[in-house]
Amino acid sequence: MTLTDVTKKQTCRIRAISGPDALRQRLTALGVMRGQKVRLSASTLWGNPRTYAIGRQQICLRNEDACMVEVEPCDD
Amino acid sequence: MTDQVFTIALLGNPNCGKTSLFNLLTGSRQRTGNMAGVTVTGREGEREHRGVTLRFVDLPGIYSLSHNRVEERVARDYLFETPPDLVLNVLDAGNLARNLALTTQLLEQQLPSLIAVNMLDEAEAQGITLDCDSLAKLLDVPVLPSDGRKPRYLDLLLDTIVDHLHLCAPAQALEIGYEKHVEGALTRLSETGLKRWQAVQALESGGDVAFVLYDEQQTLLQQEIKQLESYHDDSAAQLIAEGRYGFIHGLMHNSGSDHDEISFAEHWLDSLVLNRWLGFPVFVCLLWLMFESTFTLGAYPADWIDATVSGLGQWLANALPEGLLRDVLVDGLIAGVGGVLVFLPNVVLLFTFIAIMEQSGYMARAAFLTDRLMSRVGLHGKAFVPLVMGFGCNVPAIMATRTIEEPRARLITILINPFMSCSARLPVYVLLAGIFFADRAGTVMFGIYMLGILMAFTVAAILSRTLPTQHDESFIMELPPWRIPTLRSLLLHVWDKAGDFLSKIGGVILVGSLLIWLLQTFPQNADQSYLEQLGHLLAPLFAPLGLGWQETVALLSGFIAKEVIAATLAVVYQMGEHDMAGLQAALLAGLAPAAGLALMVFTLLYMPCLATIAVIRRETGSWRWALLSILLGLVLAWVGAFITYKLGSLWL
Repeated sequence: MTLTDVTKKQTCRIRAISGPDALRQRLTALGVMRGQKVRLSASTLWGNPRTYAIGRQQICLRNEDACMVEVEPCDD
Repeated sequence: MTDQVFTIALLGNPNCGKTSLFNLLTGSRQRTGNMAGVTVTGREGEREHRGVTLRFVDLPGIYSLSHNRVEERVARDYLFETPPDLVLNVLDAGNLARNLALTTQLLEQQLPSLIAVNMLDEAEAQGITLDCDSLAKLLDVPVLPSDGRKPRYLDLLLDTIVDHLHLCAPAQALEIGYEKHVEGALTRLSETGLKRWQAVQALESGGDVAFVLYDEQQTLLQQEIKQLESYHDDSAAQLIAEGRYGFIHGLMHNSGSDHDEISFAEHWLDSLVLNRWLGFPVFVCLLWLMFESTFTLGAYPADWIDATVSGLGQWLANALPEGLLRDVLVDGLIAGVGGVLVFLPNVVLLFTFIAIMEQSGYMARAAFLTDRLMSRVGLHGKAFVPLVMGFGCNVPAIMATRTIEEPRARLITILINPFMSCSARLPVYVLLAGIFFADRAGTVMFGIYMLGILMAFTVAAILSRTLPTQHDESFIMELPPWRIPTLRSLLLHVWDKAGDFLSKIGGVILVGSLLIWLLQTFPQNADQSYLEQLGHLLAPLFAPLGLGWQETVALLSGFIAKEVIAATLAVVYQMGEHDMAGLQAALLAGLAPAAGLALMVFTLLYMPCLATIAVIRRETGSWRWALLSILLGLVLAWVGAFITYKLGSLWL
């Protein structure tokens, strides 16, 4: 599953980030990387872009970019 | 007197409070906001402390030294080309791990650094603990608490800066152990003569660095990057970042700071403001509220100013003997300058609201809410901030478009910015709406602003379909935590804007009103003054819009600065009248309501003022776009005003 599938009630962990170099570089710079916990925190009327709670920050991503981030559900 | 001058560069993540700290350190007033990208170019300020002169440079906020965005290049090139005596690395205590990533880059590069931890109280409120002393020991650089909003840590910070500057011993370069393949690549790159930090930075940035890479180094580098990708699924940049964060987590563990992933605590405001269904309606309501209160609250102090100004006019009219001197003072100066001064409260209020939105963190949320709409017309959620700043003044707003990386989206944002009604146009609306639509003035003004926004989006949609397409930049933005704006920074900000407005009144509006008065008064004893002749000459162009020669000259004078329109109307209509009520009565008699609305629409849309044209020319690098902006404005204004007048005549 990817970041776009994450729901508000679910906490996930990032497995891998793919996509163009610029995107990967940008996300890395913001501290978004493998192993981090992610939760959906807000969505707009159109369902795109969305805001995710990642670590101690809230990051806005368009779905076109969010689908490049592969995640898996985590239990704790 | 001091003869020693030291340069200190402030560096840190976006929105970590650098500019606030800079303001406190230098006592200067820079625009700050709770939003990434408010500082676009480096700014400087000086302070003396214990006999040395400290020259502070405020660099744009960046996440990394090895990424190729404009702000990051500015900071990276600055540090490489003109190394400062000290880098004051500002950290946000609320998100220490990510902030420390930049610190590790600085220390790897062996730049003399000093760490200031900002937002400590905010972090403590979130239950984050931090031990500055043990962090300092582990990193081998001074770590101090600081707070740009409160001066209590300032002396200690300044003392430590000066002590550290006198201490000439260079710190040892930080060495982080990376993953073994990365280490292999670093070793091979170092063998070509690169320092370790240079090799790290080259790998991390894919070769886009401030120092020179020879051809064979470049070839080897690309080879190594490819190889790393093939060993792992991750890029070299990702592998290095993992190494950095591994180091940082160890550091935080050893210094007794929290390093667990505390899940992000949602703020109650966000559940309202970013609610999927309520978020957008709330946003529109807030905008409406902003314009409504700009008008209604501003009316009270405006009345006091008006009473004072007209009292002064009366007094002068009585005290001075009849003649040219009395006329120039009363009908030229007082009428013109007073006619604009009245709107100071409205301008102050509007800037206060914009500043509150910026500093609280709502502006970034608004960018998030509007991104979808923006992307429909080829824009970017990040275009939202420059567009809202345009409500204040188009000149800094156009400069703020520099945060938009993609050239095409940036060009469109620049070209549509003049349609965002700047505060200079506000006096015209307040004046006209107050006369013709007294009981729903706020709503009419809201409508005018909305028309501007609508026009901006329409033009953007057309431009985005006609200009050659490029790859869309992705919209990745960090939402800042909510912060209560401090009274001090709000006051500083608004005081600054009020000062700008007042100096404009003392400058261009004063000269403009006097010029209009001259043209209006001479030649004496003739049927028509020069102004009237000029107005009549051009009036046929404006007649279809329901406007007379008076409005024609007012609009003409607005080319210099839009505030002059109100001043000119005041001078032209105000023969023998010395207060707002007189001007209002004269306008009401001379102009149909539909024509009043048409005049507002024309004022909204027609060509940008001289300063804006100059900044468009500078930021786009060509007269072509500045010229296009003028033509576009004039055509749209005429057509828009024509339609308004015709439709308005039917209903009003």
